[in-house]
Amino acid sequence: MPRFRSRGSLLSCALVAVVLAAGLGGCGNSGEVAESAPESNAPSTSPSATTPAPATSGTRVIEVRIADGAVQTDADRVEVAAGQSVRVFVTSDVDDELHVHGVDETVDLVAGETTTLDVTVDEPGVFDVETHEGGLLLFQLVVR
Amino acid sequence: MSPATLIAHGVGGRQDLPIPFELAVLGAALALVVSFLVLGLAWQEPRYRGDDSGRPIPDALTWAADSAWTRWTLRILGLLGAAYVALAAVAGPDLATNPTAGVVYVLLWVGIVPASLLLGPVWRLVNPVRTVHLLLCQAVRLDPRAGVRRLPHTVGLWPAAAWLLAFAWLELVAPDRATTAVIRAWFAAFVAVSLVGAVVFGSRWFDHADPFEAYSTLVGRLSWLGRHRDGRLVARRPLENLDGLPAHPGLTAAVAVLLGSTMYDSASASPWWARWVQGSTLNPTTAGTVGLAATVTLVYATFALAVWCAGLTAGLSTRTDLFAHSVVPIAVGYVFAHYLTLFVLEGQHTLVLLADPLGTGANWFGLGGLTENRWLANQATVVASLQVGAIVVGHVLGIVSAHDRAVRLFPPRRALVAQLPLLAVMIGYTVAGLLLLFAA
Repeated sequence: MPRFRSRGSLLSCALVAVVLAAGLGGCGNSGEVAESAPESNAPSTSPSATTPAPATSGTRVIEVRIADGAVQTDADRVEVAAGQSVRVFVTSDVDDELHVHGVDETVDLVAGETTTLDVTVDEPGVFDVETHEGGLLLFQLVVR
Repeated sequence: MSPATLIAHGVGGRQDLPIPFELAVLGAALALVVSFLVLGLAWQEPRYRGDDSGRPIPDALTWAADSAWTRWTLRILGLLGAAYVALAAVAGPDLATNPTAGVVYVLLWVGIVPASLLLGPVWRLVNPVRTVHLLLCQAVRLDPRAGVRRLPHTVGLWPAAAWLLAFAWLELVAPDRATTAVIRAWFAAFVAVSLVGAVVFGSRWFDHADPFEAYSTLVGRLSWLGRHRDGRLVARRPLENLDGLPAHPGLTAAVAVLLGSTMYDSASASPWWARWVQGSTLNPTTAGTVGLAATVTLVYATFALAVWCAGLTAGLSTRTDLFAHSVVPIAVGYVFAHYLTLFVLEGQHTLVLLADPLGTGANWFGLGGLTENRWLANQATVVASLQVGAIVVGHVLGIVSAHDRAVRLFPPRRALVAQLPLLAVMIGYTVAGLLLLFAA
């Protein structure tokens, strides 16, 4: 019996250690997340030359082209800080509807024209930016 | 445009942030170290006694739980709940504000897990389809257990595995799966087939084919509450409870669907999956069907191969289903990691939507006045730690369960070496889970 008891406590200890270590690992990392946030902010302050309208300082600008059902974009994942404004320029070769999933911002896309969508997300998470008719994922907005 | 299209691709808008790389590595390292610790240090004689184990809880509690009054109260609650949601699904507007999708995909499908962890296989007590069959039988004075034909023993959990896969397909692949029209069609087919099955094979059909009962029964085996072979309710250690899970044919398939579909859900939410589908000539439904089937098959095949290798090493042939119980904690760890925030956030949102099932601006039961608590959405570090913790704890429980079963079935000298293939495949599942949390 004592042997069983000691084995049982071994398992409990292992589980407690796992939970604690996972918690510690998470805590240790929180500092890094906070530090890296301004970095991901930095490139967004300089809007690209092809931008039709000047973006305000601190705004992250993303350009997307849709042609023949294919998506052309700078990055599949765009990292921004919570509360940072995001401006999306979308040029599509077909009429469609642009939508930020989970934020419920929606705007119509007109074939051949560049459409602007401004969105600011205050809550951390990953949000799909997509088209409705084509069902295309343009990119994911990673809000930290 | 109609607002219904706003949730065209599923319930819930946000996904969790990817977990930090360091945390993923830490989790994998822990899983690896603890696995070999268990192998090297744990008991070498089988300890778990399944349904013979447990400490009886007071007779009064068993009596109360098993009384006809309790059973009928639960059945009626199940029927009323189903009728309420059916009202929303049939008569409510097919918009994002309809609670049906949230009830089915969040409250029912995810909620079964915490409910069963807490109290055991609870869905069979409230299952409205089972109750409808019971009432029909009573109306014509037939024994609900008696069917026209006997269900062959070899059928086991295969029908349940098939229905679990069918539900996973509805939840993760079906076009317009968040609309009431699609959910109605799926459930109409499901209820019809279930009732026919129950009439032909008796109420045992639900034990073998109902995906929600099967899910609840599997997860309920990790509960502290169980039933002794003599019928009394007992309190027992979760792993001892899990040891009593009967190794029915099809058990491996059922757990492979649970684990594989959750893996597919993670993978298919990633941008690289979306790019691959967009770049291929397959339509999204075909691609999703293939992806889901491939993931489930991969889990099934790798586990079957590991058990086959284990048997080969031990020098005797064994059945995959004899070890499949050890995948249950791994699957539950995955489900917890993957659906925790969805359940907390969308679960609350669904409760609010339930206030107005018909879209008339009603506020039934005052549910519309609930304030949703979004605290968890802002706790990326807490969530990431809980996710990794759940995956690693599930892994450890899986390893320990498999270890006990191995020392029971295999000759003592070879039991340790024979576990290595199982260990390898479980580490594979865990690393894959952490990778998906990190990258998908």
